[in-house]
Amino acid sequence: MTIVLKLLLALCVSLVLGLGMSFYALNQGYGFGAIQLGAWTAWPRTGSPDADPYARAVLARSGEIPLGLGEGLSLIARRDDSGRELSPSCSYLIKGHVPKARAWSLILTDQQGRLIATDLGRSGFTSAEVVRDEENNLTIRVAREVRSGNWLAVDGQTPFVLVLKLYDTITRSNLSALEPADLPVIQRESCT
Amino acid sequence: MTLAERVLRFIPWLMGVLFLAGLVHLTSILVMPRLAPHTAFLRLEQRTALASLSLLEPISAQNIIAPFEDPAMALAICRFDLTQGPLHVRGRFETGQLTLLSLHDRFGEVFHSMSERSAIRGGIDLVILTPAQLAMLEAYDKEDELPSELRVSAHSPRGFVLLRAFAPQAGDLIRAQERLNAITCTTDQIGR
Repeated sequence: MTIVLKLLLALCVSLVLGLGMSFYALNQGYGFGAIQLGAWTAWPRTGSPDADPYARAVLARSGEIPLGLGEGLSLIARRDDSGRELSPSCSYLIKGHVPKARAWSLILTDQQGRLIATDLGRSGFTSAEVVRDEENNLTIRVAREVRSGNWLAVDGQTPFVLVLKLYDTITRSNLSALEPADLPVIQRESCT
Repeated sequence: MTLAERVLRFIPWLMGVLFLAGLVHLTSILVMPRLAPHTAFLRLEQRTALASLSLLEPISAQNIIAPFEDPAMALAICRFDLTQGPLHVRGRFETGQLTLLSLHDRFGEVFHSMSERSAIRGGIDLVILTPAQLAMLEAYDKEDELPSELRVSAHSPRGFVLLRAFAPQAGDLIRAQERLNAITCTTDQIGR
């Protein structure tokens, strides 16, 4: 093989390898600085001037507009508490507390962050809407079929994620003090 | 040629490929905010006017403004191009009604964010300017007076202001939109 061919081959391999690494990296959350709390993950630096280049690249690719430091904090759950990916053919129980914030929303979207159209016409609950028990615990059920109480519908086909948005909260600057127990657990109930 | 010799001759190629792949990877991550075709700024550029407040349609499964955006928020945008002059955002915030404001440059950096709780005298009076415009404006300031408005300098002349107004219940969305509609964005002239 001549040297030119070898160089060309090396160049191609480098390109494929380099772009492959980028593609892989952009599908792994929002870069560095992730904080894992039970089933939930937050990237407190996205939306701040300290966001790393990976976070910026991920946001640029998806078109997401992150919450700024002074606005709040977003947490995402792609798996249940046992580490199994959330499945549209299963029902889930979301239970527990939400960290202190002036208001919050818990929304259900597909894996790319789009709302899923269901007959229920509801994609989430706000802190004002959700019904709580005497100890201020919230219970939300995610299922395909009708459930009593706070119910979020899935269409049974589209893989989904859960997003918890805490608005105007000190939690963002104080995230290290947060424990998994401060966030709702996500338990798988039954699957069809 | 023995096997050991072959391997030895291969090592420089391998190192070259790895180095180049790393370079390709880093470059592609760093240029992503400038080259990505669907950034939040580019999407909003098509549906909003320059230097005036545009109320966005409520978020639904059919109307996705940005991934993972909360349907319980009414959204409004003021897109700015500071080469035409500083952008002035003014309005009153209804106290106790959660309203969030964030400033985004076209490459996705959030360079300022706040909630209505940190607003001065129950209102917003914010000027976004380039560092040069800020210096010019300060030259016009009276020495013994503090400016009445909040001044934020932007690294990049183009970007957008995002206003989010919280609707605790689904029926509050219209009211939240009205709250946003009371805020104005105009281009300022320096030195009048």
